[in-house]
Amino acid sequence: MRTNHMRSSYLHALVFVLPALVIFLTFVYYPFLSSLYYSFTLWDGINKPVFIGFQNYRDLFHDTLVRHAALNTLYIVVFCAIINNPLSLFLALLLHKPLKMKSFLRTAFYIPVILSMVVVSVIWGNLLQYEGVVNAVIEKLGMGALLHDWLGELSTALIAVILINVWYATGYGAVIYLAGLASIPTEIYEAALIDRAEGWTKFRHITLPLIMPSVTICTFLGMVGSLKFFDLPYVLTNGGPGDATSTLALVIYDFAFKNGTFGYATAAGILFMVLILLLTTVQLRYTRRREVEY
Amino acid sequence: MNKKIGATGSLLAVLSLLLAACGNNANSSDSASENANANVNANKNANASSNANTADASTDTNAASGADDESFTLKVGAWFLDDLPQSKDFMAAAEQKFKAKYPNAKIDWDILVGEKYFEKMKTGLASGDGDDVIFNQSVPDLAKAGYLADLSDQPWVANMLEATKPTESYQGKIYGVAQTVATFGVFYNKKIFADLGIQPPTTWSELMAASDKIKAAGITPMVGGFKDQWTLNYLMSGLAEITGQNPSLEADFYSGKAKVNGPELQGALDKLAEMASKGYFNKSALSIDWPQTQIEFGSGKAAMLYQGNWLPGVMAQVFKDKGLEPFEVGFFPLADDNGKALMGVGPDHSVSVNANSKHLQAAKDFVAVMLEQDVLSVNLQNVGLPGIKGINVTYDQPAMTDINNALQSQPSTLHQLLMGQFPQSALDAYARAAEKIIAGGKTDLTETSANYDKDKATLIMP
Repeated sequence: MRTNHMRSSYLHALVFVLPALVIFLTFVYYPFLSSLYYSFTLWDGINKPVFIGFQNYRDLFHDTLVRHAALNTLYIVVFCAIINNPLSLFLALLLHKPLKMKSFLRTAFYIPVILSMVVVSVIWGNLLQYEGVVNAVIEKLGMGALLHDWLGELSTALIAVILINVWYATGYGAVIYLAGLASIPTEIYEAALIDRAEGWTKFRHITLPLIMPSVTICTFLGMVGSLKFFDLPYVLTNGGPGDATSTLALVIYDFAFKNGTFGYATAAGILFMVLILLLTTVQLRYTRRREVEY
Repeated sequence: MNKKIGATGSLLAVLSLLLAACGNNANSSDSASENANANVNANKNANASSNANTADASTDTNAASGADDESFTLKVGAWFLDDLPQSKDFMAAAEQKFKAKYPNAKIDWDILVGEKYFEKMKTGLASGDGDDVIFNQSVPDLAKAGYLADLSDQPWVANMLEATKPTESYQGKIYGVAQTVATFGVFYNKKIFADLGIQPPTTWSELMAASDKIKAAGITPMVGGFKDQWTLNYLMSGLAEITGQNPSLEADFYSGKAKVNGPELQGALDKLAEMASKGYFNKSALSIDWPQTQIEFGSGKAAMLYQGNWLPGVMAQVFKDKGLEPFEVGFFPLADDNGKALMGVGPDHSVSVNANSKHLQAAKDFVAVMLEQDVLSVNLQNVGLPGIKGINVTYDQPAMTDINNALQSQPSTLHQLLMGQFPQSALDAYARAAEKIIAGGKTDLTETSANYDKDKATLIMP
C-alpha cells in the first residue's frame, strides 16, 4: 500500500520533472559531451571532425598566445581580488555611514553596473582615444608629457582595461557589502562600545568576520567575472596591441570564430573550465572557513 | 569628371600575369569589403533599367533556364549589401531582371552586414538550412564539405578572370564566381602633395623621403586605423609582396622552399618598423578604426592611406556626408627600393549556389543574372572592379583610373597571406607582431612560424 503510494508519487514527480530533464539533457549534457569529443579532433566547423587524440592539448601548452592570455587573465583576477574587492568594501563602509547624500551616492556608484558592457566599452574607448577627452584634459592641465594612446600602447593598454573594469564593478561589490553591513545587529556594536572597541579593532574583530559571507560572494563573483573577462577587451582593443589585452575567453573565441579551428578552441575551453573549477573551489574553501555565526 | 573605362581589358591583362598558384579563400572573412561597402554610396543615380538591353550575349542566361510561373522564394545571403543606394540599386536591378524570367519568384535578401554573417552562413549550411544563393569568401572549404553546387557547366565560366579561378574551385570544378575583385595600394591627398612639392613616390626610399617631408609640415604621413585588424593585414600583405617579390610565396612556404620566419615576412616587419620608428603613422594608429581613418584622411590631417580600390568612392561620400572640403585623391602602388611593385589582387565578393537548394536551377539563373552587364555594373559603379570579363563600368573618380593604370603596368599576385594559403592563426600572429612593432615593442616571427606549422594541415592548396 505504502510502496504503491510512493511509486505513484514518484511517477507523478517524474512526469513533472521530465520536460525540464529532457531539455537539460538536450541542451546541457549533450553539447558538453560533444564538446569533450570535439576537443580531441581537428575540426574547422564546416567539414567532418578528424580524431587526432591529445594533439590539441599538446599544442595548447606550447601556444604563446594562450600563455600570454592566461597571464593577463591571472593579472586581472589578482587585481580584482586585491584592489577591487577592498575598494568595494571601503566604499560600502563609507556609504553605510549616515551621510546626507547617501541615497544619491549609492545610486551614482551603482549606475555603471546597469549599463551594457558594450556601451561602457564604446564610451571609454572614445574617452581614452589619443584625441579623446582624457588626453584633452591632461593637455589643458599642462602635462603634455603624460599624453598616451592609452589603449594602443603596450605599457598602458592592460592597465586601462583593468581600471575601466574597476570603475564598472566597484559599485556592484559595494551593494553586496552594504547588504552585509546592514545585516549586522546594532547590539553587537553597542556591546563593542562598552568594551572600548573602536575604529580598526572594531572593524577587524566584529565587522569583517560578520560580513565574511559577503566577502565570499564578492570574491567568488569577482573571480569568475575576471576569469571570463571578454566583452571589454573584445570591443575596446580586440586583445591588442599585440596580445597585451588578450584574455583566455577572448582567445578561445578567436580560435573558433576567427581562425576556424573549432577543435582547438573546444580543447582550450575544456582546459579553461578545469582552471575555473580549481580556482573557485580553492577560493570558496578559503573564504568559507572564515565565516562566523553570531 | 566622368570617364568611361573598359576596366576589364586592362584588369584582365594584369590578372593573366598572375601565377595560378593559389588555393582558397580562408575561413576568415576579411571584412574589407564589408566595411568599405558599409560606407559607400558612390553611385548617385545608377539607372539599372537604362541598360536593360545591353546584356552581354556571352552571359545570356536563357540557355539552360528552368523558367516557369511557379511561385517560390529564393533566399540570397550576403554580408556587404547595406541600406545605401548603391546596394539597393543593385538588389533592385537583380530582382527586376530575375523576375522577367520567374515572374512569381520572390527574392528574400538574407543580409547581415559584417563578419557575423560568415558564422551564421556556416551554421545555416551545417544545419541544412542555408540560403539558396550564398555570397562567401571560402569557396574551396565549403565545396570540400559538399555544401556547394557544381557550377562548371554555367555559361559565365568562360568569362571568369583566370586569376580568380583557383580561389573559386575545388578539385578542378568551379563552385563559385568572383563578382568583384579588389586590389590595394596607397591613396594620397593630391593637394597636400602639390603644396609640399612632392611627386607620387615610385620607390620605397622615395616614399620614406616623402613621408619625412610631410611629417616636417606637421601632417601625419600615413594614417592607420589598425583597430580594424583587416586593414593591418592588408598592409602587411602589401609589404610582404614588395619585399619578397615572389608571386608564389605561399606555395614556397608550403613546400618548404621559403621559410615563414625568413626574409620575406621579416623584411615586411622591418619596413613597418622603419615607418613606425620614424613616426610616420598617427599616434592613434592602434586605437582608431577604418571609418575614423576616412575622417583623418578626408580632413587633411593625414596625407596617405593604404586601402582597397573602394576608397575613392568612399571618400566622395565622406566629403559629402561630413561636410569636408573635397580634394582629389591619387593612387600609387607600394614599391621596393628598386621601384619594383607587386600588386595584390583577389576575389572580393564570391557567390555560390547551395547544393541542397530546392530551387537549384533558379538559384543558378539568379547568379547568372547578377553577373550580367546591366546588373553587375550597378554594383561596381565607382567602387569596384569586375571579376568577369566584358563588363563596362563607369568611374567618376580619377583615382580609379590611376588604379587601372597601375594594374596595367605592374606585376600582380593573388593577395598574399589573406586568401587561404596561409593559416588564419599564423596571419593572426603576424598581425599581432605588427601591432607590437607599431606600439614600439620588439618582436619576432616565432609565434607566426609555430602557428603555421600547427595549422599547415588545414590548408587546401591548389
